[in-house]
Amino acid sequence: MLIKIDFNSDKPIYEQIYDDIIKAIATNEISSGDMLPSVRRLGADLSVNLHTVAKAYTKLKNAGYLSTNRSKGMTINPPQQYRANAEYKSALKAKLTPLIHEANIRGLSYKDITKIIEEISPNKGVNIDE
Amino acid sequence: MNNQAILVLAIILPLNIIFAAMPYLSRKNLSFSISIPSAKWGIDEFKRIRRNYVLIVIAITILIAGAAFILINMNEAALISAGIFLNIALFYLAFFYSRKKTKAIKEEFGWEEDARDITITEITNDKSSKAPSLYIYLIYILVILGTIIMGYLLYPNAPDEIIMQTNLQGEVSSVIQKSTNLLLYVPAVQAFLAIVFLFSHFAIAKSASYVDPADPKTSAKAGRKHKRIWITTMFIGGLMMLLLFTFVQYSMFKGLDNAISGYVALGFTLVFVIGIVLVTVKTGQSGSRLAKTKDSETINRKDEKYWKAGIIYFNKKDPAIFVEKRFSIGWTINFAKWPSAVIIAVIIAVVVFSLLR
Repeated sequence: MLIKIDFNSDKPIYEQIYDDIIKAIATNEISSGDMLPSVRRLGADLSVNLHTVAKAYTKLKNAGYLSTNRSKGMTINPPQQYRANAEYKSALKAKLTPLIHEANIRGLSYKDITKIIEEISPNKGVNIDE
Repeated sequence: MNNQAILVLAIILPLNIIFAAMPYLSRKNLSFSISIPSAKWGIDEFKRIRRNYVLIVIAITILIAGAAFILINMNEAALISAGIFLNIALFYLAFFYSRKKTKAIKEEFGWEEDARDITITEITNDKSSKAPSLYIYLIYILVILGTIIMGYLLYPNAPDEIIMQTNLQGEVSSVIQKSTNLLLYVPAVQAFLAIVFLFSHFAIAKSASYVDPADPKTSAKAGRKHKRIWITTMFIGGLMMLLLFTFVQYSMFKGLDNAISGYVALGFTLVFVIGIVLVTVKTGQSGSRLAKTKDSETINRKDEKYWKAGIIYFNKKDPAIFVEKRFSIGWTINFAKWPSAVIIAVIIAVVVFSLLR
């Protein structure tokens, strides 16, 4: 899996790292049990401060995707640990609402929006139950 | 033909061969440490700069070797030191000259730079990309123990005066009375060498990996293979050095003829140097010769401003201590990090200490 950081982007670096790791999990490039490099290692490879990397890892841990195993290091949790609950669904709905409304205003139909969602979805809604 | 001239030539020849080959072994998006579009590496202007650089290096070789042949009366140690020092100084002049020419060509063409300031790395759990296990260094300990034991076994029949140094003409220049303490002299050197080679293992393994943004997957994989090859090479090189000293211990306490020791040492060194050259040619900088990567029409200037004069890396924001060299093949340190100062201090201390003995 590739992690790409754009230093000129408006998006904070830790969020770019976070999003790239989320993408890697979504596309199955890394999965349950896989290890992420240490904050120092990733920081060195990206030429990014290790506290920035730590911030990304903390966000992943808080969301339940990552846990620190004492012997193995930073490992990805199994999907059962972060199934979507009602709280997540309503938060997702809240985040998507302004985006969808803006798309509507600009003339995109329901079909257009669904097409975009299909393009970015790695598994087109297939269940990830093991 | 005098001996010292041959020795000077023997030292600067492989050195200058590597110096001359450097531009051809580096990654294609660099020319004399200046970032260029990798697609433009092969244009005539750059070909000319590289060819002229090689000609200058050849001229340096002839100059230094020639001087060594002529200055027969000069003190041997001074001649060799001066020769090597001058050779390296002239090499740097050739490097900076070629670098200046590269900058001029780059300005003339005005190629587009990558609009984005990006950095990429690959995370993988690929087992083949892991560095060799540290357990192999137990072999080093075995060799050192074996050397000590061998010394003890030879000791009763060893000559009373142990030869410590001979000069180039084969004459003995230093002897020491035999004593049991002397048995540990060579193993102590071996232990120090073992530590140095173990350190190189960590330095390479921990070093920042370079990924070419134009072809991140291929270059990341080649980069990992490059590191693994070099760690293995350093391990083998270290083993050879240790075995060479085992032979020295044998030679000391068996009272072997100096000439034999000299030839064995030369043989080991030759194999070691040839090995390094072969690995260098095979892997290239950052493993660029291990796999073909896609060319880029734009310049990626990541970190270029942190490479002072193209050779010294100084970047406070980069947490990495060890980074790959920008012009040649190998690793250097990030001078902005405090451990680098410690490393330099230790190296200088070792050199000064051994000179004072």
